[in-house]
Amino acid sequence: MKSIEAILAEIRPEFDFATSQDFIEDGMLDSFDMVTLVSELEQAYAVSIDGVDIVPENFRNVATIRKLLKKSGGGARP
Amino acid sequence: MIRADDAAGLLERLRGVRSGGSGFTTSFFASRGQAEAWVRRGVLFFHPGAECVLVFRCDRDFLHLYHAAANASALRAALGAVDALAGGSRVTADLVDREGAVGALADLYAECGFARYAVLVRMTRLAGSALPDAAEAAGVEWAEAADAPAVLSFLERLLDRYAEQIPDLVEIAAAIAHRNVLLVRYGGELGGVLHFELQGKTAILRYWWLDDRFRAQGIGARLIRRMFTLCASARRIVLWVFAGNENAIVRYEHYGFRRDGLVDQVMMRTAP
Repeated sequence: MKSIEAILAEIRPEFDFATSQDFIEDGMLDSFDMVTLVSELEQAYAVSIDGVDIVPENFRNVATIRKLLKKSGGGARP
Repeated sequence: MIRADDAAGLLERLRGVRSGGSGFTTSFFASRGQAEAWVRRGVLFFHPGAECVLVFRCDRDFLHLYHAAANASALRAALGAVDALAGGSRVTADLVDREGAVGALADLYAECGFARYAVLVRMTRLAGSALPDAAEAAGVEWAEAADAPAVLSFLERLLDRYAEQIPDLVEIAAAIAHRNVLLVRYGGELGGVLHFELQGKTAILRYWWLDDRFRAQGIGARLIRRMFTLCASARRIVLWVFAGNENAIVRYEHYGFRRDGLVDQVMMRTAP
């Protein structure tokens, strides 16, 4: 199972996400990236992310993304 | 259609369409800030639906169409109402996706009476890319408020309004006020304009245009070098360019830009 960090790196290989605590504020993820990221996460973790949860606050960093996956029914630690 | 008076509410409505299935598509990628600006100006309208929401943005004498659809059937049904909703206005739609993936959505729009109008590709320049020449940025100025009408006239003369999302006077004035517009004057006239935005670690090169009469004067190089300096903190700079404009693509490649795989298939529907 791909890690969240690996998925992020595939979407935007030019950024070091480990250096940021706010991917949106830091301009690392734009709105198209978020749609792509949701799709990749759903496939990788076999979850269904509710549309109302697709807000920038849930994609600010790895911790918030992990929390979102858990809420969406992701069992294994992403 | 309903005028959008609350950007947050509209965005929530678009997200709510997503049912968790694999058929969800959207063409609305505007940031919250951009949506709020449009709402404030009263140019956003929407057509609600449980499985598909259509959003229209007024631009001069035509409409930009966006969608959020739970599946293809819902989108197809909603697009069937576009003529009635648009009231005879021309409608364009920007379908953005990875190259190779946008075709299916474009085909669906085509089935519903839209024609393929243009294709733009996104190019990206990463931090650390070498600069090809040592041109100075002499003569590059910040645009002032009084320059807004001339900048608008310049862009409207040179750009494709249906494919290149030309800002209007209010938007240009705001960009100038935010120090996002550079220009070079040549013989008292506008020789070139560059409009950019810095969003965190990403910079967007919105427009970089030269008047044909003043080419080969180094104006373009001066403008873009100045932008690179101003955006030194950005990890990447992105821009959109017509897929068939090889001259422009070669020019951008000269400055370190490369296609990053994203395309914008612009669709258009004119009234029957």
